Amino acid sequence: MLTILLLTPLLGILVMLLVGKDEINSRTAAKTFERLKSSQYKDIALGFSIINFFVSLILWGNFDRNTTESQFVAEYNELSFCHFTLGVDGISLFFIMLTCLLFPIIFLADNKAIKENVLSYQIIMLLLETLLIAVFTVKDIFLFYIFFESILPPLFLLIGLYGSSKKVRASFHLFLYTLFGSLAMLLAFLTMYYLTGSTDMEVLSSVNLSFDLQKILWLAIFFSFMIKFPLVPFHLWLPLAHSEAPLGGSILLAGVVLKLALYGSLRILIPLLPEATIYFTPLVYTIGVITIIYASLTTLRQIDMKVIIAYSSIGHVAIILMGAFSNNIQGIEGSILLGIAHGFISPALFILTGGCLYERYHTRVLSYYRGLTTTMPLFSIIFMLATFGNIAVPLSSNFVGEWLCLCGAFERSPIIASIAASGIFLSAGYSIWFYNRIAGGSFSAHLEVMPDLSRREFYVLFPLIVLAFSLGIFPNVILDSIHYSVSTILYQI
Amino acid sequence: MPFLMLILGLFILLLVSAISAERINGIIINRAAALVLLYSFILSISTLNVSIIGSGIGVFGGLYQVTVVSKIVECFIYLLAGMILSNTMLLTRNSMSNLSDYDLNTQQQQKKTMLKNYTLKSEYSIIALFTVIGGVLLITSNDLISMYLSIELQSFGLYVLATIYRDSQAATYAGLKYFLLGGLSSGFILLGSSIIYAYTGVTNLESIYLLISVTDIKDSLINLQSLSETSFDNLSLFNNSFQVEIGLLIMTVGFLFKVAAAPFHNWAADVYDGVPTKVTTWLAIMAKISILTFLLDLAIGAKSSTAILSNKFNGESYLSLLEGQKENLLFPVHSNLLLIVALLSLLVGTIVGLAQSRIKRLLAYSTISHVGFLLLAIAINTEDSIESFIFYLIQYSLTSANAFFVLIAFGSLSLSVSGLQKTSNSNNRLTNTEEDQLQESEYSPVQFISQLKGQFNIKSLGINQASPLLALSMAVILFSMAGIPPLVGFFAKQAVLLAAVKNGFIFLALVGIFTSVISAAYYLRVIKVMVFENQDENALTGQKDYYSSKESKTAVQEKDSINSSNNKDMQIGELSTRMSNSLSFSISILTVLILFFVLKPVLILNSAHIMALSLFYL
Repeated sequence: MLTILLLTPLLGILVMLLVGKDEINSRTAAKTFERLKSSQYKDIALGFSIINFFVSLILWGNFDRNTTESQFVAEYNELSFCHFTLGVDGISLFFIMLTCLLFPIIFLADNKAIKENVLSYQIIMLLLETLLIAVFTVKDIFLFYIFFESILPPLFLLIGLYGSSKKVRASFHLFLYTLFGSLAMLLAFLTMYYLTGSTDMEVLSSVNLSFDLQKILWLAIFFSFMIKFPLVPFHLWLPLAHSEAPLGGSILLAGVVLKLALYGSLRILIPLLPEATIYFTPLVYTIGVITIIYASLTTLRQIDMKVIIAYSSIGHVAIILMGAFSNNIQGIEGSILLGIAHGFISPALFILTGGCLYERYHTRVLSYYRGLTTTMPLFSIIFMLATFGNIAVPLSSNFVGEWLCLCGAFERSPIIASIAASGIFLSAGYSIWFYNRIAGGSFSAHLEVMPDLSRREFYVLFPLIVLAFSLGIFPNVILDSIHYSVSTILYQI
Repeated sequence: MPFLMLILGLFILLLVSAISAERINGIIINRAAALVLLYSFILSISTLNVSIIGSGIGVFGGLYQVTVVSKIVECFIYLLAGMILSNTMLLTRNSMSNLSDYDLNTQQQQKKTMLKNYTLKSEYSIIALFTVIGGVLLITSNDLISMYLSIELQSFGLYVLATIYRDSQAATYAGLKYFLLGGLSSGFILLGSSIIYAYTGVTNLESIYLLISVTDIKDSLINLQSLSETSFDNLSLFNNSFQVEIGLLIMTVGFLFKVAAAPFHNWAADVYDGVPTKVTTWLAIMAKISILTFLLDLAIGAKSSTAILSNKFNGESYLSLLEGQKENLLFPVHSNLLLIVALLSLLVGTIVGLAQSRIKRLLAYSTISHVGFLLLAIAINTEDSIESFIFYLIQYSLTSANAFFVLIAFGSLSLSVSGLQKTSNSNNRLTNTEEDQLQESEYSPVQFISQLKGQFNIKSLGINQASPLLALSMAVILFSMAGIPPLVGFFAKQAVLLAAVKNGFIFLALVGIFTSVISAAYYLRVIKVMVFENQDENALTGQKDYYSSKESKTAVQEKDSINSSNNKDMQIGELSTRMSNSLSFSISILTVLILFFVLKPVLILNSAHIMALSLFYL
């Protein structure tokens, strides 16, 4: 099952490269990139990503929620240098499903915007889908590192090729920041490997490393995740990368790539180095609180719409972090739920602003927009719902996630959790301000009247909004499946 | 002995090209040379089955010693040399046709240049064979004399290769520089070995290792005696060991000079940049493999001899003595030298590389930083580190050969002279002085990173000018050099780092990691130029009314490209077919190897493992 999940996007790439022999009359290699019409490439990529989404639905249907063991295990022992075992448990299941859901949305959302190098775009995206699913399924820290890192070259090319004006700078920031962080993680993994002789997560979780060593390893790995999360001193790559990336890249970065650090924490930091995690929790909470307040306040000062959404992501991710390190079941489940919910809402916001508005008015600067309610009512309604999701009002899944996160954090440290709870207030502040500037007031003099959401845009946004709110009304769909897996990573002090 | 085949083939080729009445076409000689190398490769593979080799067989009266490592590296050298030779061979024909549409000569003059190129060509492959023989002999040599002779054989061949295009000013300059500094380093090697000979009286390396170990143990004994009672009768031996140490240090410095490790690196960038690209391929790769392998032998030999001795003196007191005396032993100094050089190479290679605008200089500095990794692995000197060294050496040689192949291919494709003039005219990127420096373009068409601009983008350059697949393989190569998983370069770096962490070299591991992040910046810069930038600068700046203007611009561009393709149709028709089949074949094979190494790593990893084990346990 997991093999199918991993191979379907690759199959899509293969089909795109092989299918279409109409116009091979030149011997140059360049011609291979122009054989099919670009719309056909888009259709093929979309088709394969939808197939993969259905596969992930079957995966979910067959998932046994009453066990803590990893399921759908597939082993490839021919790969000698590490333990290539794939498996899914409650923690990874919904991240995989989120990935599979977002890719068709990405292909649809970017359907019109990408005009050049269409084939390369589809190939990069499908490749990223495989790599991301691989990150969420591997059971080996070395392979985790490999896939965690190997999403960088495609992302680098994606941003650099299709991004907007500051794309080169953005791609360099993304690449070098992440590479710098993850090499520290590599050293830690190598140390763990030579001390224990294994890179398998289950083996490592049963090994008891000495406390001092755990602290050093924890710091090295957390440094990497700090950049990937991102937390405050190392967050500068994110607004740049998110805003300069093409729409699909923004959706991908905000929806899935941001959750890699959360997943890594739940997979590696907390279960493999539990004592150090407990020891460093005050540090994590301090950084988390600083990030929440700093990022939320920074959001209020931005004028670029995509940067606003990027900074608000930083604030939400910090709340996720607080939940993940709370060492109780509410907090960790909340962090997973908020991660998923944020994976619905922030892509929706990116599509609304970076996609719909940008395609109509070709500017991301907030000051030009005003009063869109008068001309684009459907857009305003969906934008309002997404904003409510971003604020985490009750009934949205963000609310459930945020509430559980803060609940868990409160159990660890009431004071810090109450400071962090001001993030709710601040996020309401900037979200309402953001919505108000775009949708409220009289119609802007800088804008022309443009048509409301097209059918394609509506169908892209609709599932995201529906999921965000239905999971808020009935979060047990997710929570019931993750209870067992989450309880395994709790640590008894 | 495969290299006897090589020598035989060489002599036959020499005779044929010297004796025959009319000049033989260089291509034929070149193909024959490549075939000789291929045959030697097959022979050397079949000798791998000879099981009596064990820890090594001395041949030619102990002048040379064949070990498992030397045999496998030999195989590898033959394969790589054959590959490089066959690719540079077909290129000459291309560069000749470059010439023909470049200076629009009369028929006769064209013929003259053609002839000139071909005659040079036959020498080229014969001398290349000389250097291969030198390299192969060097890795098997087990005696100071044979070592010096083989390294000189290799170096002299390389000096001649560097200056083989006599009419190129840059190549002559670089070749002279290479010759002078190479001569200096040979002098160091000779000085070191004569010092060793003067104080030990033996030239055989095995005997020297033994002698060193014996003196070390005696030193320890003396020290022990001096602790208990005062007797200094045998102290002359201690002095000897000090001198031998000095000799060995000087010799190693000479070798480090030849591999362009950091404090001794200054010649490398100039030489690599000056000589024609195909010769750079040869210089940068073939020389390094053999010298680094010999350095490995040197480090290992010394270590294992002490290990054997300590086993023989099985008494506990001796062993503990040896442990206690480890700081005074001879070889930690040697390995400390290697560590310092590795550190400096890592730093210099990455930091200076950031400031380069010429692609071959950039590759030269990247080579220096990779040599830093290799020396780090040698200096650590345990089984893991040797394994990682061999793996690193193999993957790096292949990757870097591939990088040069891609450069050659770019040169023989659309970037040849016509494309070059276009860039230099339309861009203010190339200043006047740079244009002056471009005069050697017939030998190394791609000199600046900016010449690779927009190669990925079909729209910007037109279908016939851009070569996206080539740009893509270059990107893969550079990502691999930067050490991004899951490419092969990552696994090599990871192996070296693992060995370093395991043996407590945390600081150097950290330096290695930081420098590889920094070096990623300049690799990315090349990728950026190739993939992100368009030939047309305006396409980037006109951002305000993005979509509307983009439409019109792409239309204009398409028109342009159609126009230009109409104008140059005849030219381009030739240009597009210029990249030779074997070149594209090797590039694609190597790129696929780099990309998909992760799926089947067993062969290379296991053979590296076996080689490392054979050095320690046979």
